Amino acid sequence: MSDTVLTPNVGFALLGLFSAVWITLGWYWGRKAKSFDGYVVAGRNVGLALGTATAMATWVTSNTTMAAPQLAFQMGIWGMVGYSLGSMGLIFFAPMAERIRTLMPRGYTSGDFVRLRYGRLAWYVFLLISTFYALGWLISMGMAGGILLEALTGIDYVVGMSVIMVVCVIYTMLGGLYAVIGTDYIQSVLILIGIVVVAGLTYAKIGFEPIHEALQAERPALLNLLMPASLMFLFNNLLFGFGEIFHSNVWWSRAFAFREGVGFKAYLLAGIFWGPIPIVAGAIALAAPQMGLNVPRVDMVGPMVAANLLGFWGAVAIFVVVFSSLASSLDSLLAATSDLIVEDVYRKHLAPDAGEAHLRRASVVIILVLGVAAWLLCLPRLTHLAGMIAFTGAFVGSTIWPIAAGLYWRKTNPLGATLGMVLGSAVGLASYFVVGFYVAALVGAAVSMVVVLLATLIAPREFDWRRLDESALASAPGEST
Amino acid sequence: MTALAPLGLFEVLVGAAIVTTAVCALVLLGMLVSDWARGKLW
Repeated sequence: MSDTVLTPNVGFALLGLFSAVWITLGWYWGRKAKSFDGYVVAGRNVGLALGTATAMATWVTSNTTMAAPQLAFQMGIWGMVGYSLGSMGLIFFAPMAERIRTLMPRGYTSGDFVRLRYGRLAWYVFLLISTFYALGWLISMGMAGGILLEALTGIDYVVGMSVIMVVCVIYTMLGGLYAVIGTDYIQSVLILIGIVVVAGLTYAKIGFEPIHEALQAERPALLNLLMPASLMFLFNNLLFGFGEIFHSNVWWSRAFAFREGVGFKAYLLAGIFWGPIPIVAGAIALAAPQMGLNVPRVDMVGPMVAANLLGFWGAVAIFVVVFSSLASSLDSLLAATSDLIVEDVYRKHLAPDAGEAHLRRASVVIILVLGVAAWLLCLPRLTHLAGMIAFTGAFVGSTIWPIAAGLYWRKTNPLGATLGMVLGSAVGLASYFVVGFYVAALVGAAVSMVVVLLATLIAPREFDWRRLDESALASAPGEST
Repeated sequence: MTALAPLGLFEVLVGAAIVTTAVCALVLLGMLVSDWARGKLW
């Protein structure tokens, strides 16, 4: 018997079908993206439904649908609940998204904010952190695509990874943020329905009681509510999520793209919609002991339960959920990282006089270059590169306070914010190697908090919020202080 | 130290998550129709 849940032929058929759908829709929606604003921030007029779906789908990575079952299988109830706390990042970003849209009605990137709020030194440090994180996430998603397709269908790693990368690059290039947000909606519905059907049928077929009884008898640790060791992991995960969302242009570009008044509701709803997904995905894995499944690869426990219990269609449902999770994150990363490079590096450093059409063309080229670079880095299947995303915890943790204080605290000291990012990253990184991955974001955030607070209390600086609206300043010079 | 989750708690946790996710899917579909009907999709 094959050790994959689907055959390569079925895998190729599904890949072909979904690839054709995403590329066609990317081209169709891309017709709206004629201007630079249309291409990078979808015309700044995205409504609540599409806004909620894109925030939710982007946060559902392949980790949410594949690592949550694994975590449930290893850490039980705490694993699922701890993972679902990732939704707090989205919920806490909700008021920030509204404020970002109000303070920077013509902004493009999180880099714009750091430059205008703290100056060039902080900007360079932030760009380094942000680009490093984005590349880490891009590589980990690309590699996860190849590895998961191989595990699910037997399709060769290089072929599967290449198809996913090529498809996401093509439709993102064709349609910019319009294509990303449009496809994200369909992907989010597929993820929600797929995961509910698989988990619902699993528990309807077996029943809660037999699953609970088997867990109690064979893996009681998975039901244990008192696992103090996991608390550190839980809080680190929480802060990692905060850091990822607060600083990354993936989330800022959406805050700029949403219609006025939509940002708060969209991010709040996205957090509420996302919260139960790791619990539902994890619950599928908890059926494994009752089914007497031998699980040779713990990261495949979710698909194995689905395929064994629900047969061919269960495996297809899992494939669709995983493929949608991968595509919805990869396209967002390609678009948002390209925006950051075009706006903060190309326009601000290399081509300050570039017009709209020029910048739009530059965006297309940079998406392609990013895609090729990520593909090349994914090609040798250096799995430790995929682990780079955990490594970035210290860096993203260190950005939480500079971003949050910069948005709400007028007196925040710019040098304190810069030092907060540098020292937070350095000490967080040291703790990663000395203690473990599970404290890097926690330490990075704590050190950065102390530095930002101390610097601001010792040397507070005044800031005029109007300076964040660069377009208004350009049209009325001399009005700001 | 152990304190195993009783069946009731397990049922509530997993059951509520499945039902909430299903409701979220329906709400998301409803929101799309509502935005589309009011011309506020994008």
